Amino acid sequence: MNKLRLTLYITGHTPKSERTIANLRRICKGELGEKYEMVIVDVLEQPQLAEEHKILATPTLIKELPPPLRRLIGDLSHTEQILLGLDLQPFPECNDTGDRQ
Amino acid sequence: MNGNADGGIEKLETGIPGFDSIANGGLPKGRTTLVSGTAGSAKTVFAVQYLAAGITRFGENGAFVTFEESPEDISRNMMGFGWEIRKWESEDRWAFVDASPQPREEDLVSGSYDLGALLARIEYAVRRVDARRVAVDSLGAIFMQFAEPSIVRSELFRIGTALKHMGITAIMTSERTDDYGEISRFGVEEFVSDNVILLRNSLEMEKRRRTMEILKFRGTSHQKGEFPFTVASG
Repeated sequence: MNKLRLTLYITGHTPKSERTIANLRRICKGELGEKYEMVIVDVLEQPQLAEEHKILATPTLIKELPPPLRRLIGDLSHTEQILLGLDLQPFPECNDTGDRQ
Repeated sequence: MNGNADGGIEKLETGIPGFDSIANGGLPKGRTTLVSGTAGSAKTVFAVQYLAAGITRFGENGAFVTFEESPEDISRNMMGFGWEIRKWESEDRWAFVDASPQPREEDLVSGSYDLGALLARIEYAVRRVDARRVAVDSLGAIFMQFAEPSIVRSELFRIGTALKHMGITAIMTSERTDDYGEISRFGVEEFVSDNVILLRNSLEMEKRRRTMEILKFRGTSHQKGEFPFTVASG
């Protein structure tokens, strides 16, 4: 099975950044089990990655795999919008493979 | 045309022929100047020439933030003027921040955001090439990329403040719909209002007439009125 590969771009470890990370972790754990890998990029520390991927807004979440590539802007406070935006349905069968955390 | 008798604000000699004369020495140093004009009024040429003149005449490096045309198009279009942007890039004298619209599906927006990544990229470009000059072209185009103009406006203000803190002398271009109408679209002059230059390309007696007018330089002097100019290849 294809794992979901997500990259989240934030600007500094502000309360807003932390809230966004928490929202994303909650959505992923709740809906995806262990079938995802997540990278967090702080654009203050790695501006060259923001340049390379032409990121303007933060937070920006990019779903790199599986295709198609999707970009979501905002603090990820609406779970259903996020899942739709990532082309994901909350699959119950995800829980079969691993939800031990 | 003398450059003294000004208040406390120094001028930065741009090296653009003619401009420094009507500007009584150059752009207000360490400040941002708005360059507003209708479509085809040579805003991008002016913005590129500002950086090119810094590199070729004063050894001052520059960062070009493009909201509209791609870096590839700008580099190619400006070759006719003898400006070797690609070469300057490879020598770390010119840095692009590419914020031009990308051919991809529209981003989805959910919840609050800011343009922190854009600011980080601009600061990174300035640090990387040790830029003294920054050009931003053009403000209207970034408003088209985001649905909330209030966020864009406040973020552009934040970028202007950051440039000032870095001691950068910057120009930001913006578009206007009429050569003799309001200063710019989207009300950008509200936050880059200290210094305003107008580029006009009006039709007079069936001929195009390009002029430049310095509307205001806060705290320092300039020549008044419209001055004709031409766009000619190097």
